[in-house]
Amino acid sequence: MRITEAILANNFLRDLGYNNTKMSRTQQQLASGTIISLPSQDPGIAGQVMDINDHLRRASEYMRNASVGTSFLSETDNILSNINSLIISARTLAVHASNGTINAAQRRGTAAEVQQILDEIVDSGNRRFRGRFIFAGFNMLETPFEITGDGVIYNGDAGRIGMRMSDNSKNFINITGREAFGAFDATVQGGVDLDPALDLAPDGTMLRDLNGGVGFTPGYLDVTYGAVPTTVRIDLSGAETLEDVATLIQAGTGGAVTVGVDGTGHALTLAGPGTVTVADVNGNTTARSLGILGSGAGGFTGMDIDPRITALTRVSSLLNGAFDTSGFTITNGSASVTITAADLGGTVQDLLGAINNSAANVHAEISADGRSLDISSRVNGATMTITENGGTTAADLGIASAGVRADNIFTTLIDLRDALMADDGPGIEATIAKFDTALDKILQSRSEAGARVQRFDYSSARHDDEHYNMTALLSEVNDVDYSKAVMDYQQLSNQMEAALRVAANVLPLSLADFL
Amino acid sequence: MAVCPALHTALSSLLAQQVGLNTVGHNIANANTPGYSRQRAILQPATANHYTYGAIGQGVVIDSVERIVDEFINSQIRDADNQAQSGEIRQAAYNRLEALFDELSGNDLSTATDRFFQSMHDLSATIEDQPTRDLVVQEGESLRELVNTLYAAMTDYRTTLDNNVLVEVDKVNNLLDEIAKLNVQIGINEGTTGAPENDLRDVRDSKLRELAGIMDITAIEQPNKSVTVTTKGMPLVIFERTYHLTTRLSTAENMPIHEVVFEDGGGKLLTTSGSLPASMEARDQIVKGFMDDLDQFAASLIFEFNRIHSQGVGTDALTSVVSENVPLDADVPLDQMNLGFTPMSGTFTVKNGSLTIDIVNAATGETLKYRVPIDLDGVGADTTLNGLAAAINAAVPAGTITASVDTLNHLHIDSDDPAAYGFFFSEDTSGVLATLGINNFFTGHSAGSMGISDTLTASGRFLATGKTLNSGDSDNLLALLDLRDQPVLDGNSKSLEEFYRSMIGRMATESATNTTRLQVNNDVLVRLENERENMSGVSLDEEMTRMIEYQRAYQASARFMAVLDTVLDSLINRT
Repeated sequence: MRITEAILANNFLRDLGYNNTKMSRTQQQLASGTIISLPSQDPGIAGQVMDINDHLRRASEYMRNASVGTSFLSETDNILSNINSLIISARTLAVHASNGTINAAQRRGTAAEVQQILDEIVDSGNRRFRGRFIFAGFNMLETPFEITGDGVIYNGDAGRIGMRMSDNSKNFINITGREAFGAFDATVQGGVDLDPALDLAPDGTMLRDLNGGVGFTPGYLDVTYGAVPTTVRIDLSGAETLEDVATLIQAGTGGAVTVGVDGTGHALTLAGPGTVTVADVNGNTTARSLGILGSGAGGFTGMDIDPRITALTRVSSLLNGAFDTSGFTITNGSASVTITAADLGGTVQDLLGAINNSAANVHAEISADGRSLDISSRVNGATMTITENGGTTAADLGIASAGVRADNIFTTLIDLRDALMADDGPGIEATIAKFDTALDKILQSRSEAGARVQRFDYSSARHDDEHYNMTALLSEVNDVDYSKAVMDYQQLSNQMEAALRVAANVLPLSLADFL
Repeated sequence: MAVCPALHTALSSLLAQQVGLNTVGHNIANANTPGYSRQRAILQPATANHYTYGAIGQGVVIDSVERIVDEFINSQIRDADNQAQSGEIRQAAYNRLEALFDELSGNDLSTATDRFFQSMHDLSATIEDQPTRDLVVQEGESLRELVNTLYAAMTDYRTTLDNNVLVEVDKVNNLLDEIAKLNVQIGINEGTTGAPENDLRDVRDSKLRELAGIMDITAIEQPNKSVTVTTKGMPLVIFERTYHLTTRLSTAENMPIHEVVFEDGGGKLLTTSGSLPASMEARDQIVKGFMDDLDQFAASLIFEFNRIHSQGVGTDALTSVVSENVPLDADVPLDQMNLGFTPMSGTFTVKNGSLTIDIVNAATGETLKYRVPIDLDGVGADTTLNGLAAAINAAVPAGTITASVDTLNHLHIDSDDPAAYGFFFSEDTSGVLATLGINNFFTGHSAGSMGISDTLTASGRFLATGKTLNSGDSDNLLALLDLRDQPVLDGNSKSLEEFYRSMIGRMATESATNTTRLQVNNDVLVRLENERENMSGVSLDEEMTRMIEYQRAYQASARFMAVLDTVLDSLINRT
């Protein structure tokens, strides 16, 4: 084998190059403290690093949220504790004043103290945390409680402020005036299921409101029709309203099968030639969720699919239109509002708007189950009545009421004050038990707040652990083991020196020196 | 017996040894010349004279001066060099991409995205605070700037690679010309003398090797001493005839890139390895591939973020909006609009659904909802842009807001009395708002065109954090934050986070694989070159030894000649 000078030189240069590359890499690791500085140096490690960083970020965010939630709820709890003491003071005054030996003048003096306590409780309810009203729900920039001649008006709402504290949950960090003080206790809950009729207009019933809000299962269904049975598969996955369903079925069957609403307004009807059958495909529940699973000669009527009431439901479709439209009057303390036929001519949001934007200080909303309307008085202390306006509208809609009045701390204090002013012994005594009820409610809210804080703490602790573990893992995965790296570097350095020394001795050798 | 033949013998020896020494000297002189193959003088005994008593040799003749070369190793080296050059170009591309994306450094796209979402996260604790809102817009601005910069840098790099292609094509053409010239020269010279043109052949070999680095070629020597060079069956050099390459602008893309074709006939170049095809591969597949990924990331971020943002409201209701994207034709159904750009997969499409407009009465503070159906079921007349404007106007009460389409097909929705009525959208199941770019946070539809809406840059009040105008309502902000982890890419299987990570992962893996391959290629190349050296390289020690041989032989022959001279002298002068 001939070895020329060129071979020796090339081999030496190549090995020198390799050595230098390795040394430079080790140098980079020592300087940066991490095993890789570019993802391509080790794609496996790079992937792990990015994944761990993601977990770290999440854990930090959740811990941060938990701390915000905790401080919000702690402040809430402080205020509630304050209010608790105030209620106890009021109760003591009531007990003292109920004693038969106290005279009218003394009772009037106590009434002033009771008014003071009422004012202080209202002030507490209006406390702010970082510039926002704590008990106001979403209405955080508007003072929630105000005292008027009729009583204490609550201007907040039921909004729950959510923050994410773990991958799968949203936690709520506020307690509203409704929960803590029973501010909406004067509520008339609709006693009649208003069962709105199905609406096939383009802006009519939406499929997601069917079946009490459970909605409908998107998918296919098979429609069979005709003297010579033809089966067509209809794709309803893009449908959003009943009108979409009707259009798609009609178009899919070439206009042969039409969709309508039955007399009760609760179910769909299909009509077409021959025996019309609707079936589900592959175990899906599309047809069933529309209540049209079935068959019949010339067509058939489906099942009641129970749509929810929404803001855009037409009032005229409630109870399938079978109610009196004379209207009703809501009287709330010294204010009132009369709802007329005009207000009943639009959509539910028009009706609710007419009630809510009036001067009557009432709040109307669709009930939680979507079947009726709830009307609450915002004024704690006033009696709210809902009476007819010459017809039977209120009774038909299930909202007639001879009078409701809140029974909470505000009304109890007002009653106590009024009884004291009127020198009404039994009246004063009656309030004592009510203070106990109010205390219970405050206690309930405080436990709720406490329980939530506990949950936040638990979640925070878990994330803290995770953060710690992930940081340790990140270090394991990507941190340079200094002792090993320095030893590697030393070894490479020795190798380098040896290679250079050998080259220096071997390369210059030549026969020419000896001739 | 005559003396003169012996003189001839001596003379032949002197000449032959001189030639040998010359060859040795030539080898030593070219010991460091790249591509040089050592030469050797081949000596043969001269034809003997035959006498009755036997044959008397007549000395030595030079048969030829040959170069020691193995054509097979040469062709293997050409192939290895070809692979190595491809690898180098690809490596440079990956290195550039990794340097641009700079992942793991803290100045990268994932950090910018983190900071953007973090700023929204910070806002969720104090949602009505204006400076914190403005901060979200600013972080959004930083994010989009980084995306724009990355995209622009990659576009610039593609232009650089394109210039490389032009330069390589010039190099190829020059090399082809030189090879052709050498073919002619070698042909003529060898034709006249019959002796091999060693040095010119060495030059031709190194030109062939240079060419092989640029594109894969097959070089075969013909009986007429020329080398025919072909690439994938298409001729490049046939004797003195060259087939040049040229470039022409490709119409495949919006930016100017060139494709390589033969000048004569315009046939496409079919080579797949070498620095020329590798430059084109880097330009059109490697860099472009990642640009497409970045585009998909940006488009999905823009569209999905806007989709959620458009269905919310900030601290103030809107009084006037204009759509950003316009269709060519306002009478085409919304799900078939041509918006002037090709949307990335899963973005900027409208489907059957409805739009809910909330109108705020400033006097009463009341908000009423109105639903506008967007009919795209393919049955009957589907909603067009003009149809949408009409449907909006039909759904809302007169005197509140008006929708219109201008001559450029922008959709305008304006409050009829900004002091009295404001509006926002609480729901859009069709995606029309995000597709047209109404009440959007990001503008644009790709990495290069990504921007931030002017409305938001002017004031953070319009950052849509809530579903209602209630000051504490942060439901929309929470939905925006959730977007990060929702699977909206790759057929709804990957979240933005995962998509980005798999893009970087792909870059890392491809780069690492290429590095390994390149290392292997380089090792193979060095081994082959050593083999070539083994066969054709000059060993100075060897040449020294031969030099001594020739020198001593010369000395001996000279001595012999001196002896013959004395013999002749005796004969001529002493008798």
